[in-house]
Amino acid sequence: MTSIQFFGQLSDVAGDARHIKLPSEITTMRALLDWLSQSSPELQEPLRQPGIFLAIDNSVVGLDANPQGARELVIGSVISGG
Amino acid sequence: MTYDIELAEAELDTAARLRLFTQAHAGRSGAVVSFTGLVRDLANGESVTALHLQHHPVMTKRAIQAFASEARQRWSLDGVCVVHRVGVVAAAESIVFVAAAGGHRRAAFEAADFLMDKLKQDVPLWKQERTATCARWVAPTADDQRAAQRW
Repeated sequence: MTSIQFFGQLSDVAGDARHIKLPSEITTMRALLDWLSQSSPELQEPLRQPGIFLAIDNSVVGLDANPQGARELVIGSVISGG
Repeated sequence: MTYDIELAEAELDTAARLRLFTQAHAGRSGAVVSFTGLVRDLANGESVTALHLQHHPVMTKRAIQAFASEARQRWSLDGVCVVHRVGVVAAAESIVFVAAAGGHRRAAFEAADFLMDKLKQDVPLWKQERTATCARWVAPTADDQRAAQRW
């Protein structure tokens, strides 16, 4: 099982976390976002927002990174600290 | 070189932090610059009661440490302190404290400025404004984005 943690505005829609069995055909974060959008239509718009924050096992990644084998994936809205 | 990086849930005593930081660097350093960010009680004409700061338990602190290390190398600092509140922060409370100690004032000023821009733009923190009637997530402004691009 892979844990997906959601942060920012996304957590309002998706909840704080989901635990899923990642389908083998999902080999990029981009594909993961598409899959989540299809399986949860309410996520479609927030996942398309610019500046989305992605991480695999505590490392920040881009859309082409492969999430297979990860323990934890992070998907967050655009960050805004300070 | 001293680092003091902390994510704090409790209210900050920034005067005490600055006093300790200054004492730790008095003698060796020629300059200490500090910045304290406060929660405004008004946004877009509406009263803000609090901010809620979401953070990641590992990546948030690690990112701050990385930027503190970058600042140390870039400006040859003697010390850095970054304390960022997480969780619920009431209006008028301090949300962030940054201090830099260096040989000369220019290095300390620039390092503190750099760290604040990085905290705004590149550290995984998500800020939500709470008013009497609603809660809304805060997006970085165009000014924040321009500021971060300076470095």
